[in-house]
Amino acid sequence: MKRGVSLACYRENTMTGRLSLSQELDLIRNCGAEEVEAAGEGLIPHYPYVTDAFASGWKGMLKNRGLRAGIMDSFIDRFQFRTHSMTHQEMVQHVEMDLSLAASLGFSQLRLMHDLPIEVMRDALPAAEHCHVRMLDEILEPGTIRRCGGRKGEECADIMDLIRSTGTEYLGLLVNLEILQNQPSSVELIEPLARTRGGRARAEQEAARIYAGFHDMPRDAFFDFMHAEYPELSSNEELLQRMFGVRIFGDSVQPEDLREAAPYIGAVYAYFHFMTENGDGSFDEPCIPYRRALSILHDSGYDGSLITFCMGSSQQAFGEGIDDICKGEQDAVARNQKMLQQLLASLN
Amino acid sequence: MQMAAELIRKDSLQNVRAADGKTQLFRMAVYPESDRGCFLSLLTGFYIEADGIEIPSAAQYLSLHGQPMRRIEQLRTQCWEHWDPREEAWLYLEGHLDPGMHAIKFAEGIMSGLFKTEDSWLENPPQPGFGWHGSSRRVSEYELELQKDEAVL
Repeated sequence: MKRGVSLACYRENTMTGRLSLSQELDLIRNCGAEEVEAAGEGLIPHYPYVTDAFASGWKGMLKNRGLRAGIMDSFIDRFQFRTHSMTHQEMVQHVEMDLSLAASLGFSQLRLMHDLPIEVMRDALPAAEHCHVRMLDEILEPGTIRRCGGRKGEECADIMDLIRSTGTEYLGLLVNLEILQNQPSSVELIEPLARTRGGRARAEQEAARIYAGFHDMPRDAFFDFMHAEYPELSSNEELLQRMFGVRIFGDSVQPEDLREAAPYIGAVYAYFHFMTENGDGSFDEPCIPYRRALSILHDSGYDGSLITFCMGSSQQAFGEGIDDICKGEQDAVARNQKMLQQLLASLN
Repeated sequence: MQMAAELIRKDSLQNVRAADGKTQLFRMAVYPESDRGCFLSLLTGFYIEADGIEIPSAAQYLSLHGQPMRRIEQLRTQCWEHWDPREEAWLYLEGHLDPGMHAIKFAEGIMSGLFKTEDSWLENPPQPGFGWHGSSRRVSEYELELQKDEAVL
């Protein structure tokens, strides 16, 4: 497997101007990663009008660092035209446009929005083949791989069916390993608890108590427990939904499911919420069974990309200031890459 | 999803002297909240309070890409004009500020995303700061000092 990093991981560094594009690429190279993922809309000045100067500059920056353009992200905004909701044909044209842009910038794969209709992907296939850029449908939480009555489970199976029926090499799955998350992230618990319970040490004790309840209690009992004991958390509806989402989908998505999907996977997101330090120089993401997942992918013959990816990466930093947050982002990516490097080495 | 980055440049708040000598405006330099930016057609306006007084989108104008300031309503047709990440735009607002510090509340309204939205929004787009998508519900608060120099329009 080849390691890569999504530039989205450096979001705060980018948005605050702390890091330039070339500095972010330096960090990625220093992690030993080979591939870069970028959102076309965020990368290309005056998107979608890419200039030859920008394209050659981008390719030069990658080449000088020994990096490759891996995945370009494609976004579609339904109300872009404001007079009407985007039609099927307009969505196809948008994907075709991004395929062409991706090709011009040297990307080999294009990540599509997870809720893009499969019919759009099907109709954009000729353009993907023409551009030699593979389209990827992201399977992300709360998605599943197996058919289980859930929309994303169905969609994943439908994509595999489409690939089989067309024999195309230009459509694949982008599996976000967040779907394997089997417990709430500590960062979602500790940060708010530290504010209300008098500091980080106490918050960690309380988080351990919540984890015990999460794993041992029936769903309703755990819900009551949270409301009674931790009103500062249970009043956060989004957090509770995510926690119960993990309870529900944590049972229905297992690492073993990756075996069936492996032949159709174009890339894997090595997603993380919070990278912990084990004290021996190694790192871990305790919410996601990485070792098992990578072992299964390896045994299944998957040799594609493994991309460090996160949303809200500033969660890695508990500090209040922008400097802390930006430093936290950089550290988190380096930790995730180190973890992947160690796990992959142990497989070979 | 804006986390740490400031959406308003802190040293940018200033009154504007209009050419006609009558129109009262002030302005601030703003950035898109999304790290992918947005097409201008998706911008529904800004939720702004200056010292507790809300300024409606009809009294808001945006200037970027070397263009003169445009009403938010005029941006609806700019379907392929992109506001890039970290690209500075000047937001002009009707009114006049006294010297000193000012409390500014700020949120952007951007109709981004794909399918978890309502078609009715084409006719009645949700208002910025109202909490309809992503961090548009997040109203950032700033204490900004009015710059001594006036901008000339």
